[in-house]
Amino acid sequence: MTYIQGQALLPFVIDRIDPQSMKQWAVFLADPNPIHLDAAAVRAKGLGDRVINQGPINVAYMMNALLQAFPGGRIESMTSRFLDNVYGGERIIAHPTINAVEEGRIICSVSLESMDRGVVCTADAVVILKE
Amino acid sequence: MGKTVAELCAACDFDVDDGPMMGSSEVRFTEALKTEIPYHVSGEILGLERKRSRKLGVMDVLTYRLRLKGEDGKPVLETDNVWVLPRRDLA
Repeated sequence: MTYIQGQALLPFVIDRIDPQSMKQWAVFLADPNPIHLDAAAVRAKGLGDRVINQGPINVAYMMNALLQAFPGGRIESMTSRFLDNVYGGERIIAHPTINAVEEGRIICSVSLESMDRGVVCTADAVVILKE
Repeated sequence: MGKTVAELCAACDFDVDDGPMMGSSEVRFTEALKTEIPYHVSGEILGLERKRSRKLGVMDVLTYRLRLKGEDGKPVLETDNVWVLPRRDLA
């Protein structure tokens, strides 16, 4: 497989953000924050009218996009920025792009986008390729 | 660190019901994580800074670090996380 700087990689698509998944993540993250569980709590805080995805789930989507792009590779480092919320029911797409190619490593950026609202998270990552 | 999300918020005199949000997250892996392997987690708060945001008003910005080590003591990953704690009561 040949990788080149500037190459756009296969997007990772989440057709519908599932509020039920947020309830499961709330358990194993030990995170009772009501903005993930109760739309009324989100409205009361003026943050919207749907439950908000936990940040680590958004990171996981971006990690999945990288691991899909580089089968057998592993992430060495990753910095994620949370620019906006991801809401229940949304369609979300993670777009990875190659920024640089080094010996055995790929430096990438990932843009996580809401189909309706644009970019909600970004990340920079280094992936070690499968030997 | 030995604290749940709610307990970490409480350590910052913040109620988890007030809706903490992630600002950024940085992770550095020394090795791949594996299932069925016990890991030891430790960490500390690096900073807690009060700021004013046009969007959120008064907020505290919490930065903390967590480390995972294997049973042999070898580091596996280190992560720095930044959380935004909105202080709507001070807006």
